[in-house]
Amino acid sequence: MKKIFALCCCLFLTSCFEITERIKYHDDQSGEYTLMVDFSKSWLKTKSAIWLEEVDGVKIPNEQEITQKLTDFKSKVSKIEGISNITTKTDFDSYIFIIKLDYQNLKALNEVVNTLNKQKNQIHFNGNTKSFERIASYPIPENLLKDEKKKEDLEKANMISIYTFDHDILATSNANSKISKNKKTVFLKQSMYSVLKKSSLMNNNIQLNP
Amino acid sequence: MKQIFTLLILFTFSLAYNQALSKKQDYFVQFNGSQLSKKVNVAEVLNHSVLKNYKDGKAYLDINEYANLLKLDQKITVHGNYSDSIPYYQITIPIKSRNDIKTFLLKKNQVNDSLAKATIEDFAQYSLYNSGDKKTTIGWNDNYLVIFGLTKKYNYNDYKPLVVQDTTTTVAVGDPVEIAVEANEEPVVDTTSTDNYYANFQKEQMAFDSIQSIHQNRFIKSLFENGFTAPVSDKVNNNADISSWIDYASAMSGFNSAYMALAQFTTYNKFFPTQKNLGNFVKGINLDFYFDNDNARVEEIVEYSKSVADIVSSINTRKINKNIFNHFPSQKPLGYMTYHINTKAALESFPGLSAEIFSNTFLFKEDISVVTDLISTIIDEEATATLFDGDLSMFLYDFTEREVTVKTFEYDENYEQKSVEKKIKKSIPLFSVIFTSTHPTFADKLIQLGVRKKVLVAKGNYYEIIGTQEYGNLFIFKDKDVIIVGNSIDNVFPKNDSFSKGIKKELKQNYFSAKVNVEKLVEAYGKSKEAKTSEIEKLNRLTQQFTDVTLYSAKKLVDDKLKFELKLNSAKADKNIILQTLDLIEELTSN
Repeated sequence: MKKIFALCCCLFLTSCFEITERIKYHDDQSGEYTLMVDFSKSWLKTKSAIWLEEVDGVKIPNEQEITQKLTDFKSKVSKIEGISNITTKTDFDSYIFIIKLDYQNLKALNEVVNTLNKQKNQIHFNGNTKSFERIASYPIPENLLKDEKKKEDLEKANMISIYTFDHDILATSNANSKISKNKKTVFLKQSMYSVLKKSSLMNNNIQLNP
Repeated sequence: MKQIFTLLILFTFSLAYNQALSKKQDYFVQFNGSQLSKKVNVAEVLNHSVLKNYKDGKAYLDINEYANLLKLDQKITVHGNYSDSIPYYQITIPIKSRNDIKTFLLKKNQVNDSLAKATIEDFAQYSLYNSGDKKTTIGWNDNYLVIFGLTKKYNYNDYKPLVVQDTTTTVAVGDPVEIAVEANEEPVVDTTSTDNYYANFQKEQMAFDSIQSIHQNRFIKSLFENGFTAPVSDKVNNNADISSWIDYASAMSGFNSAYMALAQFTTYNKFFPTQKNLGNFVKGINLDFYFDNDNARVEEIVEYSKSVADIVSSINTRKINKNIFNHFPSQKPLGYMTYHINTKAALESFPGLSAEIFSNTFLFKEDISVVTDLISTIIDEEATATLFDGDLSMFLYDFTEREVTVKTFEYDENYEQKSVEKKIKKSIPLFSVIFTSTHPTFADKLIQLGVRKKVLVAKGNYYEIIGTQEYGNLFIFKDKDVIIVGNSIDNVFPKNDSFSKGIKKELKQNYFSAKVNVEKLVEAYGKSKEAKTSEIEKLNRLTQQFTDVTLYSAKKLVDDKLKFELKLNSAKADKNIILQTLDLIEELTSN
């Protein structure tokens, strides 16, 4: 799914947008995973891009195609052992797209991300009762960063990760991350441009109080 | 056997091409070098740094090399025929020297590393060049060079592979013993030569191309052997810098043929309007280009048949309802479009036009006329026309920031999402749409219906449309025959009529008039949050170059021809607009 949305990002790159990854992580390694792609701040330009069907020579998926992609994703991911309660939500008024699912263990979650990124045996998440680690690797469309015209748009766009735990957070490895007041959530926000140049900016090793 | 078939196919094609080439032209394009060269120095255009940078590294694009051989201060023409059984094209270019052309082509031939080399032959009256692949034929004398081509291609539909009868014998095994002989009566394609299918096709294709080449050579000979006469057409405009004309009926024929090929798969093709019908309406279309110092202009001229021209003329001629001018803005807006047609005449003409367009062998004209008569009886054109008389004007005044309440989400202290209503400033266009309706009651009743259904709420002398805050609170206003929908109520009560006076004058001759003020539009866009810094700089440069774009269409048809004119006006007039545009491109692409 990341690959699909990364591609969508490439295609819709006319203004501000956000990608938010939210994970609830329990002691038994199970939890909830939510991915939200939000173009609401650039509603008009997104609508125009979809209407035009093409921007800068790149085909823009229409509403039906986007809905179909999400349906295909749901079908693929439902076959992964340990994944359940998969839901997708499309809001074509505000252009917000959400995927939500429950995972039984990190192996299943890794498989979800691998399936969508067309990767094999890549570890994106690692964890136990004492720690949780995010190892970010985003499939970046070629030539995206080389286009200077896109830089301004990418700098305004954001990549956000929000991880919530059952236990208190002791420390995080990523200096840019923030810990919530109740010490159970870590928040990390980076500009899309920086993340696409260096995925590891979204890496984070979170130490938990067991 | 195969050779006999091949020869038979080739003989058939050569017979076909022994017919004379049709003199009918389906299209004609004329580059009026004699006129354009007075307006702009062609060498200056070709030597412009933008073109120079483009062609650097691309040896085949050394435009100057070509320009030195040609007489660019004379007319270059392209014409052809695509609807005839022998479709062709011909490009005619005035040249400086027969020998120079030969030297040039010989040089190109030498650097060409393909196996098949081109050939050049010299005759008394002309020289002849044939490309190595036999697809291009060029003839030239001391004054003109002609590139000629027959455009029909040999394709898979033309290729007929060898057909062989196949008999099979089957034997039934078991009690009782019987021998049954079956003859398979269907002809079967010789599958033993499947591997050679494409090779055989290619051979036949090459043979076809060779014959095409022979005919091309013959045609070139016929052009030059008795002295060459440059092609002319009375369809193009000799006052235009570039003038083009297309035979609409032939174009539709081409489209129809293409469609019909696909439509064999549908059941609805029999209902499709035939080329003949559509071609009867529009005889031809001209596109003429003019490049002056202070503007670039393109005119589209549509030539109708007499009967259709009369209809179009009656539709375009309308006495404008003067009440609308009371609501035109006092100052020139960012952009506007105003359109005035005779709706009654349009409704009256519609049944007849439809019957003409849609009549074909499947749906007889008589059948269609039953339907159109019924519609005419039910519809009172005069009464229906009062719903929308035919005056329509749209204005874009400005962009503004309005506070709009939107639902969005934020994070709380624990980074949980919470939905909040926020007031944000949104850049919205200020616009209005003005039209007339002389129906005595319909508009008022519709408005009252809106009020009863709580879609509209009365606010003084106008009605606000509920739920349109995001668009700046749309309203409906009615003043006698004039109805206005928009989001800027102040602009529909002008303080003076300086702008509308100018429009009235324009609309004396034109039924359609539109204008976009480039400078104001860019200024307004730049102030909006939609614009990026890099975009604004480039757009500002654009406004320094071009002031506005205008579009007109005249009421009066001259010689059954309706004209549309699109004009791009320049802020400067120190040099031809072509050079100004190249300068602009250079500036915008150098950053």
